[in-house]
Amino acid sequence: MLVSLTSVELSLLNIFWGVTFSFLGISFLLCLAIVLRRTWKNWRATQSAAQKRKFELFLAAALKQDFASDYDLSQAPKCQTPEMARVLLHYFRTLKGDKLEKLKEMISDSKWEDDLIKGSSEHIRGIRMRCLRTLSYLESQGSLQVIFNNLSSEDKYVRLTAAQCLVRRQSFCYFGPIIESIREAFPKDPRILAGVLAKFGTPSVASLESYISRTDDGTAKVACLEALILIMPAKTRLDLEDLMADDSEAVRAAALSLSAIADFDNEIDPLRLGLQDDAISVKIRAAKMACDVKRTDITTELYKLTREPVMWVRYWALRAIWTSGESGQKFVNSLARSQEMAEKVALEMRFGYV
Amino acid sequence: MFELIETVGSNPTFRSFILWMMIIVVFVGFIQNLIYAWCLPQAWLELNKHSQREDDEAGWDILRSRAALPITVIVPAYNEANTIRESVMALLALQYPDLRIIVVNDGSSDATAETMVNEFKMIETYLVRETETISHKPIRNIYRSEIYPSLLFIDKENGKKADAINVGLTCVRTPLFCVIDADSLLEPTALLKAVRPFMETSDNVIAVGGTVGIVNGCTIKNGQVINYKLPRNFLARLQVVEYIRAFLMARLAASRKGSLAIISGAFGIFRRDIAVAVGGYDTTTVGEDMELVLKMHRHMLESGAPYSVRYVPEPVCWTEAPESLKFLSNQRTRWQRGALECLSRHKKMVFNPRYGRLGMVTLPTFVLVDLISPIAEILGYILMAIFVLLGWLDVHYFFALTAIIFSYGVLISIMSLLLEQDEIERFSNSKDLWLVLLTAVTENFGFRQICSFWRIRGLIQHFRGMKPTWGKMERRGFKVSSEQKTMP
Repeated sequence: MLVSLTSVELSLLNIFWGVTFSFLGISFLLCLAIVLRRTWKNWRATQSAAQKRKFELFLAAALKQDFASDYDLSQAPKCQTPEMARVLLHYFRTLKGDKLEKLKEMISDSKWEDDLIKGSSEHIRGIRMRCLRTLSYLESQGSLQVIFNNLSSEDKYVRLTAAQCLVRRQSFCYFGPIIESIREAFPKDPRILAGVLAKFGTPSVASLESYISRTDDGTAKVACLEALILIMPAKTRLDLEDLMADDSEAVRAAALSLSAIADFDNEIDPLRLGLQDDAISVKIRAAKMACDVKRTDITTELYKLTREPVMWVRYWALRAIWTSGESGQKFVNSLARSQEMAEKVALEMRFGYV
Repeated sequence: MFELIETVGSNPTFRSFILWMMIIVVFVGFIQNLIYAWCLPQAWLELNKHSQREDDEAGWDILRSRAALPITVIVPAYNEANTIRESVMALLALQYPDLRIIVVNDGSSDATAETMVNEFKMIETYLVRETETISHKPIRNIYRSEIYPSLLFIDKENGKKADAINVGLTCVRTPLFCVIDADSLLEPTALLKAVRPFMETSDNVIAVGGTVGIVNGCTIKNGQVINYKLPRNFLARLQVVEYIRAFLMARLAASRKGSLAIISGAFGIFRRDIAVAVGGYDTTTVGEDMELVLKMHRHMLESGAPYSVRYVPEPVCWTEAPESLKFLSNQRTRWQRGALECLSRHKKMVFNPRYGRLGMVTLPTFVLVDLISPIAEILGYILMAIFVLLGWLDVHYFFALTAIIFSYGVLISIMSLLLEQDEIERFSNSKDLWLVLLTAVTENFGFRQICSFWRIRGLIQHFRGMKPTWGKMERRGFKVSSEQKTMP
């Protein structure tokens, strides 16, 4: 009995020490792996830097040549795709005129383009994004197709990059797919989509207006309206009356802002409608806009807002009345005797806080 | 002494008490280790999702799109006359399209206010503030800068950090605000990185925290960490490993499950409307940062609205770690007290299914790992010693069990460093890497136990109702000078 107990104890003790040494062994191996990996990464970084330098020199020399026959791409030094994309992207962004055209000509349909296309399907997001950005400077159909394909990538950041690349190439034909893709990747926040679409610039105004008119999707509509606000067109063909009656307060607020930027055909006063709106966000936006336009004919609407329960509505309304002119200032000063917010706004305005 | 222990040990009631205590200690230890083992893969998955290997331009895209949400940075300052100018200059140089800065002087006894007024050409102003839900100590003066329109300075009576932030919060007019310490250094792209979750997710993000790194030892130029190096001070080095484990393992895992309960006071971005709705920071606790996050969680869970609190694993903020045991012990005791105060205020949430995963998993885990575990750990060592003295435990077993505990601790520390090296890669030279690995091993022998002891001290102080000791840490000061400087 005693013998068997001792053996059990010993085996338990052995298990304990076994577990301990396993933990320590794994820890040691992990330490070793971490250091070896670091050393390898550092070595690879040094190699890549050297390759990149050689590639840069080759490219610089090639760009100095006058004819295509003067340089031979097959003689180009080996360079990893991410580093090559980094160098090319830098050149694309900094070169101008003939040099830029020459570089595009050199890269298009070359093995470098093939490498970039391969890189755009890498599993590392950063490399994919960089390759896509570089490809966006080429005019070949292949590069365009690759960028378009990435518009349906599972990675939303890659999608965003692909959309930005298409916008950079001014590919209006992909207007719809860009909206659908970004809308799906970032479903609730229209700001990102608006930021992407706005880069199309003035030529996209008609497309944006047409999309706003035909879509029922509130977020997409807001994104397109916000894009128009960022583009700041001189005139809009949109039916602002219809937009100011939209169910979504975000649409109404965006339409209101647009009305301050662009001329429109409707016989309505969006600012007055905004001030009379039920939604707090629209009222605040309207009152803020009223501060800029300095109109005296909307004082009645603004005065109504000074009795709103939400503090910031009262604040912006009073600020708008103050900025409308001398009579507005007198009005706010008279209100200050009975209303605390009016007193505060008058004080703030006198101190000149913006 | 031995005879006394033997006499007491022969008492059956004592024996059974001690045995039960040991069972509890072993159970707590087991659960804690299981939690660590669960956290590691969760953190790894989350880290992979955030992948650092993405294009540097991702942040710039937000800048270029002009779609970035406006942010106000609130900087509470107390006796920061020597560093405030540099800190504000570094903030003004942050890369963000729509940024406002509010510096709140919390009744400093030095020349903080004078420095701000003179250096930034401050003139008196007045502004309408949102004070309906937030109370605070009286304000002496509000100033705006003539040279930097986005800079506001508020001089108020002393009322602690939380009170100063509350004053700043009443002046915020942007949808988001960021709170930082006056003695923290922000990465130039910190705001760009941290604001992304607010813009890019559909989860209704209400707060975002970021990784805080230890700046001791780093090379700083123009307010930026240009070369990361390990601190030469051993105590600071131990904290580097500790921070990596806390930020990269525990918080990332909690973030993955959407139930992050702590956002460091050194850096956090919050939605203004929610923070105002919950009354801002609580000025009666030393754990005001955790308290605010718990209040925001509670507010959202009680309102039934979907939401999330996110975490950015990239280092966004740098802070100086205490290099003396005295200040470190004060800091840790205070942290423990803060956590306890928060938990006692929100005890209703613990094990309450109404509060979902936060109430059923995160807070109980917090109670176990941060409150019970330090006691269990120290008690475990004492009990094992008693067992050996009473002859209930063979010395061989004592050593074998102790070895298991320590080796597991080593494994967890090394694995958290593996996480760091997998994605963040702060330690780029092999010498630093060996040193940090060695520190990860050695911190399990002594430092961890001392930390547990400080935590128990915090626990005792809390239950005795003692006032927290803040102390004034002697900062070496990472001035944002034009000269390059290496922290000692």
